[in-house]
Amino acid sequence: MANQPNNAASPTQDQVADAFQALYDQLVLAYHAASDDNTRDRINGIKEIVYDQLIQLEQQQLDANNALYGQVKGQMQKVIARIEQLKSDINSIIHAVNVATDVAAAADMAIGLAAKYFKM
Amino acid sequence: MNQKTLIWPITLLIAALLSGCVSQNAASTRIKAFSDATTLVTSNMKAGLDTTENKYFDVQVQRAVVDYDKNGFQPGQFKPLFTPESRSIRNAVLDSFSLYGQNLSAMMGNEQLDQFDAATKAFGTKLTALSQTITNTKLFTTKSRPLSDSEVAIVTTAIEGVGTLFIEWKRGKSVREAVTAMDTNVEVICEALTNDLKVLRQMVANEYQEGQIAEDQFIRHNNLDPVTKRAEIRALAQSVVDQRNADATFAAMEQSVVNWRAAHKQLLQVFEKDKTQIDALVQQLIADGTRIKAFYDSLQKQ
Repeated sequence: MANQPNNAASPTQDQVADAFQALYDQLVLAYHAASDDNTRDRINGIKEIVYDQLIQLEQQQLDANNALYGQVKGQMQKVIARIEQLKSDINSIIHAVNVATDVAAAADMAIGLAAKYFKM
Repeated sequence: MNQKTLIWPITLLIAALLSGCVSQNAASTRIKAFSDATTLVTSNMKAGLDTTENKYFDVQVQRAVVDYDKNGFQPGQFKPLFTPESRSIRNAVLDSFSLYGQNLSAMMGNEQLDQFDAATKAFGTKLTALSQTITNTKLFTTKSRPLSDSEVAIVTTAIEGVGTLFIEWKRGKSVREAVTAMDTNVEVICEALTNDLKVLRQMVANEYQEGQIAEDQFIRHNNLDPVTKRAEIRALAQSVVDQRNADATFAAMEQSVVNWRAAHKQLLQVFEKDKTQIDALVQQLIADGTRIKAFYDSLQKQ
């Protein structure tokens, strides 16, 4: 048996994590079911080792997810920049009315001064 | 064109503006609600990450307490749960989504419309003053004022009306474009959040179990006086209740990510007549988000 080639596909990260989780759950049940402290301590020792491995596997699962976050991060900046552009477009409309107001005010002042200068 | 012939077009323009304002206000209120819901989803997700990290630290402390007599204090046994990269990329993306919701809401808000309104009113005042000056100075040969007060009012109302319509059209168009462009990102981020939450939910459940067993070991291996022992057992029992609440909270977070995805997909409904689905989804999101937030707030008080 030991010389037979292993044709089975390698387990995925999730499958390994699931197997460790199942083992951890069984050890927790065994801990609570144990009838004496020595057995509990022994089970706890094994369970702590399994837990530490499980944490590492779960950390790897989270790290594998980083790529999805990275994919979104750049796209988000583009959409937010587009929204900023809209704000600036609307501000330019407001600015145009303000310019017209300044022109009317300047014309008013010029006509008033001209009238005084030419004594009209 | 005399004033009578101007009355109907102006009346129609004002009516169109008023009906436009009503629908824009309804859309604005709903986009604001969606923005609030988005902030709740993202801040709850951050609180979920914090909880997982903090509970992991608690587990390490409880183990250190149990092992102290045997191993003493070992600084190297206290490790962070998340790598700095894992945490910072999640924070950056969650903050961006919160900002996206706030920007959508700000875009639909009244600030710029109020500025435009003030600008057109100032323009009307200056135009009246100019007209008055022209009349008083008799600089030009016209016998009457170039523009009567009512004509100035018509001009400024028309500018305000056309400008407001344009701004609202531009806002509606841009919100539609932004929401459509963002939808693929929302799908990806929801997939990432769902993946995370499945792992985090299991991590937190294990952390509670580890904590309870470490507490049990502490009680068994120390000769506690009855009062202290009762307090420790009570803490152990409370931890079982907290574990159930935490698990229910993570389940609710998974559901809120699904609802948030659905709400974003339906968000453009705010511009349509039938807003039933978007209203129901956003209300559900806010109700669930508020309950989830209450759980995390209670953890902070412990």
